[in-house]
Amino acid sequence: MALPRLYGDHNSRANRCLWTLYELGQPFEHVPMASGVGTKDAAFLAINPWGKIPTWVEDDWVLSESLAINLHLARRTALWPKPPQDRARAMQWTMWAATEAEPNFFAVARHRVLRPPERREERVAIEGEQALRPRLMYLDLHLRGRDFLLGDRFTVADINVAGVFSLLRASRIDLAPFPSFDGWLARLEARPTYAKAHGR
Amino acid sequence: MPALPKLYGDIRSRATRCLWAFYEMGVPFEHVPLSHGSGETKTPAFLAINPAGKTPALVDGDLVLTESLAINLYLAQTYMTPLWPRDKDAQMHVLQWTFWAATEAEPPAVQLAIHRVIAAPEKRDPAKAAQAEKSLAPRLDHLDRHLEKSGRYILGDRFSFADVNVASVLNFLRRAKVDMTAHPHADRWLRELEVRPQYKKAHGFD
Repeated sequence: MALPRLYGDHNSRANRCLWTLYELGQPFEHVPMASGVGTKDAAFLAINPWGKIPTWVEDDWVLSESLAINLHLARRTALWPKPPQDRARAMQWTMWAATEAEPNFFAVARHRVLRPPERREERVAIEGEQALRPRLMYLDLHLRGRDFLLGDRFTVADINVAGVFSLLRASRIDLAPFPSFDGWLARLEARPTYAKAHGR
Repeated sequence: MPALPKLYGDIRSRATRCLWAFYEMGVPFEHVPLSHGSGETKTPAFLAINPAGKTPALVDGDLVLTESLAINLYLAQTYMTPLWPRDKDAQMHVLQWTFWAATEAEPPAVQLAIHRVIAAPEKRDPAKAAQAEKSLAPRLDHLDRHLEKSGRYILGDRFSFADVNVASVLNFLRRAKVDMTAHPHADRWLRELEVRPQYKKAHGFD
């Protein structure tokens, strides 16, 4: 049986899935495609008609959406909590990462990191930072007195939420008002699997 | 007897998605139709439930859950329903489509709804609406091509939470007068869902 395959390099959202795979020590074949390079070619569209990375392939079974791939990888492993209520919370935090954290954070990252310098607009980045602040406050409040999102155990919820903040340090966001969030993220960033997934 | 699950949020909020789920599943629940924008979601009593002050929120026993689509996935997995496939691989595809709905379909759909339906007429920006419609087109195209192959529903013959979660983020398409002629399969699929009594009830159309 062929190894499962992950498409997407460590500069793409595939880094979230790489992180999970390294945490699990799961063997896989890595196809480090870059975002937008070949992802709309017929060969790749035959695998994922949406033409985006990451894409996860097990034989002829295909899954896309980075956070869904992580939930799939985490199933039946120690990264997936056992109590049904904690599973619901892990799903909630993952959805929050997708709908609240990521879009607001990317608005900042786009104009401070992702775009070439001549296409960045600091005004837009500042607006984005304002929209992001209540979200970081919410996360910070939740993390007060907790080592991880679901309590004292590291789970896929931590990977999925921290995964959307991979460009945070480069985005020059003032984290002084959010010490619990900052500390939690620093602990996760210190994991060797995190560094490896991000090519650092 | 354990208390009924309690859903906070009125039909003018994303609670419609969870209402639709409850009605489809036939699970009894208590509806607390808090209205956002009225201050009802910022009272100390509600902030104690959801510190973000947002609806929908679900309280089921000692579990408090937010994020409309996560609530739906929880309901699907907690209460017996044929809308949650038994096959694990199919369950993962429900997740995939739910995240696709949240990250790809919803942002332009909401932007379009705001500038064509929800905002007061003087606050609507036709340029933003046009931009949102343009961004939505390839998404509808993807859904259309998928439905052309998959058949009646997203997972094939069976109506599932993949349909509920994707269709519920597209619930403003008609009112926003999106031209669906280029997306006949998505159009046919959405029409079939929109006439379900449970969908109408969740949206206050009945």
